[in-house]
Amino acid sequence: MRGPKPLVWVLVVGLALAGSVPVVAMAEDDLTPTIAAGRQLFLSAGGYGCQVCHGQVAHGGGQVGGMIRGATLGQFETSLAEVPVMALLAPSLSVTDRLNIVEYLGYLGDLPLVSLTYSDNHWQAQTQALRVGQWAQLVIYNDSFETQALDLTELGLATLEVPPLVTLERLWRPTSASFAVAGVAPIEVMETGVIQK
Amino acid sequence: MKTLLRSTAVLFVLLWSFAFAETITVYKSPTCGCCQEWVALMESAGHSVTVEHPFNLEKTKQQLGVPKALGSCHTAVIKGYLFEGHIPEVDITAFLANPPAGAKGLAVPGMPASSPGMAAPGRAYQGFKVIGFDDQGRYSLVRQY
Repeated sequence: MRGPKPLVWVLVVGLALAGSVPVVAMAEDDLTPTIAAGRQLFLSAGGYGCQVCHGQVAHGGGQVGGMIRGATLGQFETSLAEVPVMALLAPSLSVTDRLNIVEYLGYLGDLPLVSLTYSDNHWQAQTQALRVGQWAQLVIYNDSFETQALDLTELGLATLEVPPLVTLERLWRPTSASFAVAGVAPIEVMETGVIQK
Repeated sequence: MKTLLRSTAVLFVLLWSFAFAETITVYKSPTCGCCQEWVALMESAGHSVTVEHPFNLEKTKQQLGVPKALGSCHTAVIKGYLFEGHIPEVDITAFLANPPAGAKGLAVPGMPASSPGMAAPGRAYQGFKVIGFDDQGRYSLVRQY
């Protein structure tokens, strides 16, 4: 892997200055039944899932539907009624299905997004504003044709081997107002909350 | 004389179309409209398309051997090769004219906005990659739009 520089970049991205909080992974089993059901639908509804147009964790991922984390039931219903490619899917989703999907999108909307992408021979990062002790979601994408390593030990997470064109997701809780990732270009804080791939 | 020339030209175009027309099976979901738009583009290019709506599309893709990382909404099968997603017709015909050794097919992962079947009619295709994949699990860039 060829990074921009073999050193650790440290940037202030959070605003809160609370004390350190132990890093504890939130297991998928911890999701409530409705959120878990919504997640399952998001990944598989219609045989392809909402993910195909909105990215694996509703972050957009460069796809046509864009980022929809935090979408409300009203917004979802409007899209099902008015967006042609979604209208065909609408009859297959029960009221409970729709509520569960919105529950899952709400859960994602409460997780600030940290996007780490390998592209053009180096890792790049963007992040929404983080708060110490608040769960965030890392979305890691390898936009190359070779497996790439990403050292996340500075975040208290394991080093990852990211296969080609694969998106991985990890939950992470910042323990300080700054964070660093080895070999990653300076981390850009998003103001709009919209991830640009 | 002009009529003869016109008729000859029309005949030539028809023969050309038939020469490169393919028989295509497309596996898709009945709830996906953009897949149907892609099918219409292939048909308008002269190909014969049969659409299948399997009960479990994801399982069908697995059985066909579509790499999960390259997944889109529909899978086309032509002469035993796989074509996943919104691939431009020109790339498919070029691939079939000279398939690389070990190649399994082509893919445009996800749903890029400016791809065939997604873009508004007449708009240029852009902002996506056509990716080749082979029987060794390797990927290669075929074309960047």
